[in-house]
Amino acid sequence: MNEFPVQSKSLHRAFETRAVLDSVNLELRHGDFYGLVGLNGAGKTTLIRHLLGLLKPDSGQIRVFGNDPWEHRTEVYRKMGVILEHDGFSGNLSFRKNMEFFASVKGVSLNDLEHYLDSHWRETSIYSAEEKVKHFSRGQKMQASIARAFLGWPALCIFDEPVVALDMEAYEHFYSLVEEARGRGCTMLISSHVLEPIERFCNRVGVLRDGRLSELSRGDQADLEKWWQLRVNGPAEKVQEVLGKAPVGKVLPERDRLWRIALLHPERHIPEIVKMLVVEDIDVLEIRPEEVSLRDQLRGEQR
Amino acid sequence: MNQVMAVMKREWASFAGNDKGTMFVYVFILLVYSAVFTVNPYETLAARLWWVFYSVVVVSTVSGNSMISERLTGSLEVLFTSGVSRSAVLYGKVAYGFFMALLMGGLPFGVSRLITVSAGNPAELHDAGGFLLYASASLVNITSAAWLSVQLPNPRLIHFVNLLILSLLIGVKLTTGMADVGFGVAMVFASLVLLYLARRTFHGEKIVRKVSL
Repeated sequence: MNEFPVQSKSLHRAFETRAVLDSVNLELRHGDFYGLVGLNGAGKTTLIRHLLGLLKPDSGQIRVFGNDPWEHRTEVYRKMGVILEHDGFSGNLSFRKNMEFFASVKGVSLNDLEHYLDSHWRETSIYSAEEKVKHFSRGQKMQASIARAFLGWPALCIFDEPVVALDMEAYEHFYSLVEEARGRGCTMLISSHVLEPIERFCNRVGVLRDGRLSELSRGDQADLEKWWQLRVNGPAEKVQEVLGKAPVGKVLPERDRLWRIALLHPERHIPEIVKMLVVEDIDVLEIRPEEVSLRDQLRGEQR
Repeated sequence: MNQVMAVMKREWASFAGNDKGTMFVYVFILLVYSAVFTVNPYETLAARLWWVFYSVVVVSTVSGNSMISERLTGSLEVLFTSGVSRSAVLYGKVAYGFFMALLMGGLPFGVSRLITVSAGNPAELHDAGGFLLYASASLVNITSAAWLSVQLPNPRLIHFVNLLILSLLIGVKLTTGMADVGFGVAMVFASLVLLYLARRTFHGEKIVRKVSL
């Protein structure tokens, strides 16, 4: 068994003169849920297409289950569940007929397909839909793509924008399937503009910017400053002056007597700051930690 | 082989799932061509031109669509990453195209011969030779469509290039005076060359590049 289901080393790819992927190193361990984020045109889809063997790198190495994806080995693809920009269904066929085709090429028996659809998709509108897929709504097509991706419970899932056009119910259903895949030991790479699924599932997050991949620290930020919200009653100039002298990393004045301060050791510094403010006749109304969302982290990175 | 059959069956099911209006057009074309081949015996120039037209425009529209449509929608990417080999996709589509060519050519050919025989005129052996020529020409069309669907920046041009290829082949036949059978074999050989080229392009990167009409 390979230690890394997905591995890329010094991956480089340029389109004409622009480097879209520049020395990208990526290692996904078994059971990793890796979120890939970045602005439009950052190279997320290009990276995914390289991992899937749809594009060939200019230089560098990619291994998926120990194989070069450019060799296009069908046995490797059968271990994978993929969601790409296009649904890939034959529009003139029903959802079920399409699924029968994909089951046959994936080596999933018709019985297993029926069992999978019965147990996981019975409650959805696509389960009993007899119309052709071309008449499906965008959300239904995405659901159908998700159904295909989890067919046979693949060992590796690579999803490019998997929650686009999903309604709330379908969204929750997707989550339940992801959790089941996790329980079955799946490794997953999700690229998404919607950060919620990445925040909810991924233990690792990579940011692609100008073709370079860097990893955000998730849940392990002991050595980083954390943001706190401080609500005080007093003249802003005075507050600014006191905080300027206090052991505070950064100070950002907000509206309505609210200040944002970055602290490295809050347990030690908060009593100190409160004391300094009180001495200057400034009332401290509230001080609480700020929840750092992935969006905030990304904004912080961009700053 | 199973994968080729699966792709072929998928193509056929997709064709059979066409809207009623589209199917009506196909039936209408088959009926018109049955009449055309009944009133134009094979040895006439008109019949030969109708066959060429039929092979290039009607049949290659069906097989060409099968090659191009998935490139336009981008669904080939999903197909390639679903566990079916690229070669199986190619061979399945070519096999489907050839099957359709035989079906769509065989029906009007058979109906026209039936009408001819029913009218008391014996079916000539060279009629069958004509059909073999049509079948081999269709194979050239289909394999070149597979190759050109990747090579041409605008797949809409496939039919024109196919027409050009067949015109060249007909030119060779007329100038060399090749027999029908020999010419048919030459076209099958040309098809194999085109199939080899198509296989190479199907394993390349160009096939998943975005294309628009």
